[in-house]
Amino acid sequence: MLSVRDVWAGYEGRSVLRGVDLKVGAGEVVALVGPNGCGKTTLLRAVSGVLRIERGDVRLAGDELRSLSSRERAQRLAVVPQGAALPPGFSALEQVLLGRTPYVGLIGSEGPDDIAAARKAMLLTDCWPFAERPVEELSGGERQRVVLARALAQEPRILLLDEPTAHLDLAHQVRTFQLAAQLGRDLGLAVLAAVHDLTLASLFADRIAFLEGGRITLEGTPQEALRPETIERVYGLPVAVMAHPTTGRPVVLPDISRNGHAAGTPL
Amino acid sequence: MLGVLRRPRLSGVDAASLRRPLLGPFAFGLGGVALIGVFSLLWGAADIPPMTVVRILLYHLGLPVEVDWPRSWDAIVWEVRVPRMLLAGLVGATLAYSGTTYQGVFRNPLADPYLIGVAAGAGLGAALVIVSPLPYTLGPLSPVPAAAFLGAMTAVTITYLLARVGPVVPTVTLILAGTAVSSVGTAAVSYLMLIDDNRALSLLSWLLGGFNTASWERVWLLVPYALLGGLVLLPFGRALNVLQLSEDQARQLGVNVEALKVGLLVVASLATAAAVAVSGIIGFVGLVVPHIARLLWGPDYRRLLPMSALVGASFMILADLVARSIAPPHEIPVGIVTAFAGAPFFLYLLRRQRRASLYA
Repeated sequence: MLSVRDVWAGYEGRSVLRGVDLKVGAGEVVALVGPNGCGKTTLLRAVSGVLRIERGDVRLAGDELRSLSSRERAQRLAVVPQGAALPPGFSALEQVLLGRTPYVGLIGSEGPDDIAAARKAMLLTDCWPFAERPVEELSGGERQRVVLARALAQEPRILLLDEPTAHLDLAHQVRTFQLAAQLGRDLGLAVLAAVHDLTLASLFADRIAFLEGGRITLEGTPQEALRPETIERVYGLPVAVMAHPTTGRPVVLPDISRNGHAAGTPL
Repeated sequence: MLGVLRRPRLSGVDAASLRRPLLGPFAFGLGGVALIGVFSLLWGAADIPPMTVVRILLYHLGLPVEVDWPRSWDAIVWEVRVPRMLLAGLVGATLAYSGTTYQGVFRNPLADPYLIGVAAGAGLGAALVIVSPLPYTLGPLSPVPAAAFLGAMTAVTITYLLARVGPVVPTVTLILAGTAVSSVGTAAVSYLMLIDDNRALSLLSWLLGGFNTASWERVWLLVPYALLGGLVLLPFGRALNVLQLSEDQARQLGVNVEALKVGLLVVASLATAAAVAVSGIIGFVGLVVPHIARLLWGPDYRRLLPMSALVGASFMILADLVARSIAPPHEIPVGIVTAFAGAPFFLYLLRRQRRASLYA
């Protein structure tokens, strides 16, 4: 569904991405992990057409990203951005309806189809009960669901999540990811999520991809990818990896008892 | 009163119920303009009975009315008061919808038609003509509006070229470049005023702005730009809503952000330049009226654009009425009235509505 091949991109002559290869199939959830500044957001921006790609190609549901108009692209691919910056004064429904922009066009207005799509997206994300409330009255978790509903209202086949839970508490982090992953599988979307928290990635992703030095250096199921030596190499921090007591998935814990690059030692 | 204008409750959402909210405020705004417009025609230094004013209007609109008034009254009503009211209304509406557009494009509540150098450019263009040996009588063929217009568009173009970083025009550099261009323009005008004592007064009176020299010619000069600008910008209310998200988000929704921003700015600047050309520089309306509309009717640009145009028209007609009747037989510059009336009203609304959260 989403295919990234040998993609190079960056800012002002400095390539942040240096030949990224990655595939995400329909109904699959892939977590993109890596240290700060490794290019997770850059990759999502390049794939979503915001940042120009210097080399390589990206295919969305079979078609080259370059060959699609920005409206066609937005009908296939939606992004849940970092933070939930929603302009105040608009109701949750009005916000979600903005997700219909690729269908409505620049000077059109929403018709019954658009409202039906927005309603469906809000029912799926459990936002419908507060559809009328202005967004500034909503809690952080509710806002995040509105942003997710806006992305789903685009009726995309590919969903990108850019650290969507960075500012939320634990419960909301888990619920947001659970919801996005489950909706992605139910609706057959290809989901690519940039995630900081390796344990969170492990709990919800089918596969985990490490982005390091502008390339995907390792990719596999959580069990395959989350090995202590890999994480220690990528992050420069000794860790212990254990099996989750109920799900069996790997859980990553910083190991400050070991003498690595932990607190106090220069990196 | 305001309750009536609010969004209807959401029971069984459909397309119709989402469009309905515009009608109430729109009727209210249109009624306001009509009421204030007619009232301003009845009021003036010459003591003409209101019924006679109405009959003069009806006569000129082609209705069979018996002419029993002196010629001078006819001239006062039809050649002075009517064009003056129309010009004030058009300029007010143009500055207000342009201001709304600038605020939306820049996502900056302080943006107004003058931010990116439109006023300074227009001022400099006009000043150059006024101090030159060219005749400075204003009219459709006069070089002053044309020069103001050219100056405004030149300033906007320079601002744009300065602000551009690669293919994008970030808001921060745009505002900085606009401020720089404005400063140069203003400094140049001040210099021209200093070196030419003879023309300094006429220059100053043009810069202060006003409608005391309104005429049908000027109305017709402005009409195409005011109407065209309004009609072009109006359908972009929803696009301006999308721009209120971050630029990345707007792009990810399939919007070509740069092209949209440039297009909206060019149209708004063109309309503003035309308004400045016929009325000089009248501050505050383009800044405050959009906020008044926002506080009354919320931040949705589909409502904001038409409503600020209507409020702007009413506001300017009223301000001009005050400017010409507060100290007869003298007139004070209308810009002084707009500042004096606009600021406290704005602050009153801001506090009373407790909707400062709109600017969070």
